Formats: sequence, structure tokens, C-alpha cells
Amino acid sequence: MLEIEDLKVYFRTNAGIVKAVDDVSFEVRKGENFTIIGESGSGKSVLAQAILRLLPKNAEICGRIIFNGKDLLKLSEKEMRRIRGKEIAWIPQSQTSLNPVLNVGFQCAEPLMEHFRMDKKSAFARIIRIFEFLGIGGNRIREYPHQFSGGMRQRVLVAMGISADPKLIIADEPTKGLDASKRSQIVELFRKIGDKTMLIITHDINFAENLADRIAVMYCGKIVEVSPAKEFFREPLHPYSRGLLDSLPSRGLKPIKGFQPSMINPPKGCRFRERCEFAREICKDEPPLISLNGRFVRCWLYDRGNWD
Amino acid sequence: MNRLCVTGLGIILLMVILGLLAPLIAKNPYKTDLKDRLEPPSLKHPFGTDQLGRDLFSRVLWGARTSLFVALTISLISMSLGCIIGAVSGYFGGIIDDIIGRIIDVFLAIPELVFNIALVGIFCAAYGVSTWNVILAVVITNWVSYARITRGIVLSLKEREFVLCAKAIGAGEWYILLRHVIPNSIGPIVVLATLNMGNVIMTIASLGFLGLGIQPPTPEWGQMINAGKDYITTAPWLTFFPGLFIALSVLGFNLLGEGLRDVLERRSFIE
Amino acid sequence: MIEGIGIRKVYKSGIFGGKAVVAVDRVDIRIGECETVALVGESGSGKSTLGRILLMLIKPDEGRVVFDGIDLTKLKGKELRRIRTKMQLIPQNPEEAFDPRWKIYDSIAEPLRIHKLADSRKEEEGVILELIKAVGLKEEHLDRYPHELSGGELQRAVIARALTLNPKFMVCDEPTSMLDISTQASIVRLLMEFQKKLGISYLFITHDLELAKVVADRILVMKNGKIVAEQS
Ligand SMILES: Nc1ncnc2c1ncn2[C@@H]1O[C@H](COP(=O)(O)OP(=O)(O)OP(=O)(O)O)[C@@H](O)[C@H]1O
Ligand SMILES: Nc1ncnc2c1ncn2[C@@H]1O[C@H](COP(=O)(O)OP(=O)(O)OP(=O)(O)O)[C@@H](O)[C@H]1O
Ligand code: SF4
Ligand SMILES: [Mg+2]
Ligand SMILES: [Mg+2]
Repeated sequence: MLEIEDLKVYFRTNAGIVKAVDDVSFEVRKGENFTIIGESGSGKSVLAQAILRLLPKNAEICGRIIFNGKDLLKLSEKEMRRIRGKEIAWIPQSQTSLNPVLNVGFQCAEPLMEHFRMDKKSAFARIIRIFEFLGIGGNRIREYPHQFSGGMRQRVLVAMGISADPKLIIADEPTKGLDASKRSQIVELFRKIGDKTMLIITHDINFAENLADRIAVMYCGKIVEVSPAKEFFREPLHPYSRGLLDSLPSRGLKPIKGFQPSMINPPKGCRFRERCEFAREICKDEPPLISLNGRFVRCWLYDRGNWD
Repeated sequence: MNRLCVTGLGIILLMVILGLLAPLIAKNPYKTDLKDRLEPPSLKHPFGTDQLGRDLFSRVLWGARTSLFVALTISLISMSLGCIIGAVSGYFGGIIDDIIGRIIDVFLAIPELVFNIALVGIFCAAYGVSTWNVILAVVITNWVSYARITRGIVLSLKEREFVLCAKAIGAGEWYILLRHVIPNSIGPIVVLATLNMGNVIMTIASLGFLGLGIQPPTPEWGQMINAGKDYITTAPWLTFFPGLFIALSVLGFNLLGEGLRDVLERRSFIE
Repeated sequence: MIEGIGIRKVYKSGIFGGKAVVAVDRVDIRIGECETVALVGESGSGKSTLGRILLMLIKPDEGRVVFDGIDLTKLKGKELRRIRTKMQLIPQNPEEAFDPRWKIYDSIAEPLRIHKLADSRKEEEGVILELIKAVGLKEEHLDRYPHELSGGELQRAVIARALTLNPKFMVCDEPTSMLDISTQASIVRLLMEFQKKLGISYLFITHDLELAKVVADRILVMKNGKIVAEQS
């Protein structure tokens, strides 16, 4: 359904080149829920924006993004516009993508009217159904974004993303700012439209555990692990994945020591090296992607031949 | 770069250059030569001559100077005035906003040109004939659209969280208005100003045509058309060339304005 | 330290204010010196509104806010602004918290500049670099515009800005909603460290009950504008 091969996204800045996504390859299968978790600032949102070709002007992108047999990077802007919203829906991370001068109902209904030529009444009826499912009264549909609370705006973004019945949903932190019951409503909503293929980015471990089929872990522009969800939560492979799960508040709020390395001059070899308790001399070389019973991990620890 | 922008900018630059170079490439626009009255366009007089035998090419070029200069003055004054009034009204709200809002409504209800004509009439009666009458009259009607747009932008900016955050770190009201709110509303205002330049040029020409604008012998397009209309069958170039230049400059500003709107709006979408 | 008494806020909308949303409904809240009070509750229950009222960023329709014995609802603009250096907000939505036309550095330096707290550019830079490193950002981020940072990086920049003024009271409105759990843990630990060092009181708004249990001395639960339960 969606295949990403050797994708690189670099940003030119005054301080140097930010390698936000560096040689990333993965595949999202049809009907699957593929969830990306990982360090803040590791390039997850940039990856999503690259798939939709919505990157700012200072970005350079290369590699292949194959969606249903077409390489999205080769399409014209016009063809791309037809794919956005209709075939691939995007639930952006940033609430700034809501237009402050249009009421929320109209913003959600607009893609329906545009892509599916729905009339205004049925489009609004559909939006109201989604809103009410997510716990926003239908009578508030004509209000403006600033009149909504943070969590309500987040639900508007979700409603806007899924209303158009797309083939692939890319959701960037769809549950941020929501309480537990609203989160489970979103899980339920995503299950309902479950035959859809989904690429989800989240920091919400419970959400990932409930919904994901496969988990990918991103660290400093690279994907360091891809595992089926069940096995991942039973036993994460990569040292970063382990550290991440250990810093859950319920497990004592123990952060991994240190902070993410610079994306302009990342450390050579394994980028997690400076924070890893297992690091050895060999980790100064780029670790290979190792396949282990259908799981993938980028770490020397699992290269039996070289590690021991 | 956007194609509309480039075309519009090209036309405007051409006008500006022609206007600036008028003293160099054009002859004396005031020199009458009764022997050469109503000559059709020729090598000697590219646009022909008028009823007093003045070279029309020179007059049209000098006319560009007048129109652009007067329009720019009007736009700058009404923009500053309108933006400040609109921003204050939208930002501080309350009773100030109510009063200014009412005034804006009243102004919008009166047809602009009619209002202008009346104003110029009054000023002429009071202070005698001068170009400042035109400027003042057009400014009085023109600031309204700036005030209205700025007020709307500021109202929506005021709800944006970064304004609240500035307040939270202890910034004063005027500081927030000047450092955060106004700079963020510049984009749409620039678009408006560009589109508005076209309108102002039209208004000046209309007033000129009615004999209420900039007075002869200063060359001005509207007034030239007025003078040429009596000869429209025998010497059509007298109305054609000034008309062409009016149309071109209005077109130029409109294209540039539309182009800028495209660029600015698209950018805010991606960001 | 800070106390809200009988606070009520109604938002009216529609023509003639026909539709009314009672965002906060006669709430009493007290936060002591060096105390962390967590505020949890479903989305739209009025938590952010209450936080903003305690900072006097919006005026309550009824009720009083008392900070260090001073009734803030009675203060005039200038006096209120002076007190603002002692209370800070970490807003819920970090993407909207910075002026989109300002570089991150200038936005973080803004509080120092407004209150003229740094004597030289060098001192200012020193303060900012130290804070930036504490929240896990790098110098390279300072020269960018807000839209050129990731959500979590922005959120940390906002936290750094709130800390520049060494406040006594902070409303943290979901301060870690965009962070991965490891970074969240370090930021929360950082906030607790500052609390010990400077004696800050926190109103900590969150949706994560587990997190609330770890950080807070007391947990208040809000529903439909009212505080309906308290656990400690
Ligand atoms: N326009 C840009 N110019 C320069 N650098 C950028 C730009 N956009 C993003 N970056 C950088 O690229 C990196 C990846 O950003 P991205 O938004 O993908 O992070 P993320 O994984 O989504 O993090 P978060 O979980 O915090 O949202 C960050 O270090 C960010 O600073
Ligand atoms: N400026 C405003 N105009 C009108 N209504 C508003 C405004 N701000 C907030 N509200 C309404 O007040 C109620 C409470 O909002 P508030 O932002 O305090 O909720 P919250 O508890 O912070 O929710 P969340 O967890 O989703 O952020 C909501 O119903 C919201 O729609
Ligand atoms: S490659 Fe080495 S440094 Fe990197 S995660 Fe594995 S063990 Fe740690
Ligand atoms: Mg992101
Ligand atoms: Mg809130």
C-alpha cells in the first residue's frame, strides 16, 4: 500500500543541514495499523509531511514514496492535491492548521463538499454525527476554533481528517490533550473505520498498545526498530526502546540519561551511543539493520558474530 | 516567483520608469503650437497632438508622474490612518470599537465617488482649487477599507494564543499591539494596498474627467480624456492614449495584488 | 500563596449572547507555597480557563484571585504587569505560543527584555543558553522560526521561556503533552528541581492520572466547570 525507500529529508538552516529523516525505509501493508513512536524531534512529523509533500521551502527530499504503485515524489502538484484529503488523509500535529476565521463545522465539511460533491446539508449532517460521537455537541458546530478548548480542537482535527473516507490515514499524535475516555473514543473510532490502512505517530504508549499492529521506533532521523506490537511491548529489542518504556510514569518516571543528539552533527556510528548503557567500541560504526524472527532492529547487540 | 506578480510588477515598473524619465525623453508638455493642432500620431508626435498643439506623448508621460505620485500619497496617508484606527479599534474593543465600527458602517453606506465629488466641491468652495483637495477628499473615503480589514485581522489575532502569552510575560497593551499584532497583519494589508492603488488611480481619473480633479494645465489622464472627448470622432487618439495608460496601470496593480494574495496565502497554509 | 475564591466565568456567543457556556462555575481553589496541585478532568471542563483566570489573563465574571495577600482583581494594568513576573504560564498549545515572525531566541529573550532583567546581550545569552540546555534543546534551535521546530521542541522552548523570570507560581497547562515519555520524565524532573530550588508552586493541568500521582501533592478533579473531587 505504502512503501518508503531510502527516504531522506534535509533542511537547510543557517547553522547547517538538519538531517531530519535520514535513510528511512519501511512498508505499511494494506489494512494494517503501523505506529511510529520515538524521541521528540526525531523526524516523525517531517516523515509524515514528506509523504504528503507538504514540506516547507527549505527542505530537500530524496528517495521513493510508493503509494498504490505510484511514486508520490514524481507526481505534479495538481495530481498530489487530488490525493491529499481524498486518498490520504492527514491529521496534523499542529492545531495551527485550523483556520481561525472559519467556523469549525465548515472547515470539516469543506473537503466533503469539494471532493465528493456532497451538498451542504448532508455534509454537515455527517460532521455532526462524528462530532457527537467524539463528545462535542452538534449545537457548537458553528463556533470558531478559539472558542474551543485544546482537547476539543484536537477532536476537530480528527473529525476533519477522517470525514472524507480516505484509503490511508496519517495521524500525527491524534490523542494529545485528551482525557482517557476521549482517547478510548478515538481508539473506537479508528477501530470502526478499521479496514483502513493507518500510519499513526504517537507518544501515547497506551494508545499504541491498544491499536497498533506493528510498531516502529524512530530515533534521531533513523528507524531503529520495527516489531509486531505484541512482541514489542512484551520485550522491546533496541536499548532505546527499552529505555523509553522504562520512563513511563507508572514505572517510576526514570528518564534515559542525556538528551537527543544534534540533528546537524549526529554522532558517527550508532546515534544512541552516548546514552546507551551497552555501548562498545564497535558501536562507533554504523549498526546494520538486523532481522530477527520477523522483527527488525538496528543495533550491534543483535549481531551475534561481531558483538561476542 | 508568481506569474501574476511578475506581470503586474512589470507593468507598474514600466509606468514608473516612463514617469521618472519623462523630463528626459519627453518634450515640454506645456508648449503649445497652434500650427500643429490635432495632428494624428506620427514619428514627430508618437501619440499625436491635442487641440492646443501640445505633444500628447509628453503629456501622457507627465500624466503618469502626476497620477502615480498623487495615488501613492493618498494610499500612504489613508493606509497609515486606517491601519492605526482599525488596529486600535479591534485590539482595545469596548466603547472605542463601537464608535469606530459605527463610523465605518456609515462611510461604507455612502457611494464612494459621490462622496468624493461632494467633498472636493466643499473644499474648492472653502479653500480654492488645489491638488490637496483631491488628496484630502480621497483619503477621507479611502481609509475606511483599511480600517475595516485591519480591525478584522486584529480581532482574530487577538484570540491567538501568542498574544495571550505575551500578556502572560508582562507585556503592555501598546507593546503587544505594535510588536506582535500589527507586524502579523502586514501581509493582507499589503495586498489590500496594492489592489487599492488601482482604485485610487481610477478615482483620480474620474474626478479629473469630471473637471473636479487636478486642474489644467498640469497633465492628468482623466482631465485629458475630458478635453479630448469633444474631438472623439475627429481625433480619437486624444482619448485613446490616456485611457490606455489608465487601464494599464489599474491592471498592473490588480495583477500584482492578486499575485501577492496567492503567494501570501499559500505560504501561510504550508507553514 | 495563591487563592481563587468563588470564581465564575461564562462565555457568551451567538447574536445577543444567546448561547452561553459556563466554563468555570464558582470554584474555590488554594495552592500553598512550594506545593504542586494537579488539575485533572475531562476535556472542555474548564481547566485551562481556571488556570488563566488565576494568572488574571482573563477576567473572571465573579470572584477574586488573591496572590500573596494582594487581590489581583482590583489591580490596575501597570501593577498587575509587575506582579506578572512572579507568575507564569506554560500554555496548552505550544505551536501558538510564539509569534510566528520571531526567531525562537528573541521569543525566549522577550521577558528578559520587557522587564530589563539582563544588563548586557552577553548576560541575556548566558541565561538563555543555560535554560535551553536544561530543557534539552541545542543552540542550533535558537536561530529558527517556530514552524521550524518539532512540536516537542517548541513545548520545551515555551517551558524555557516561562522559567526565565524565576516565577513563584506557574500554571503548567499540559506541559508535556507533545513529549515522548523519556523526555517527559526529564522535563517533569526538571520542573521539580526548580521547585525545590526556587520554591515555586505549580498548578499542573494534565490528562495523565499516573503522571499526576507522581508529581502532585493533591489532585483536584474538575467536571463541567466545578471541582468535584479531591484526592491526596
Ligand atoms: N522547517 C524546518 N527547518 C529546519 N529544521 C526543521 C524544520 N522542520 C523540522 N525541523 C527539525 O527536524 C527535526 C524533526 O522534526 P519533527 O517535527 O519531524 O519531529 P517529531 O519527531 O515530530 O517530534 P515531536 O514528537 O516533538 O513532534 C527536528 O529536530 C526539527 O527541529
Ligand atoms: N474564548 C472562548 N469563547 C467561548 N467559549 C470558550 C472560550 N474559551 C473556552 N471556551 C469554552 O469553555 C469551556 C472550557 O474550556 P477550557 O479550555 O477551560 O477546557 P479545558 O478543561 O482546558 O479542556 P481541554 O482539556 O480540552 O483543554 C469549553 O466548553 C470551551 O469551549
Ligand atoms: S549499537 Fe551499540 S550503542 Fe547503539 S544501541 Fe546498540 S548497543 Fe547501544
Ligand atoms: Mg511531531
Ligand atoms: Mg485546556
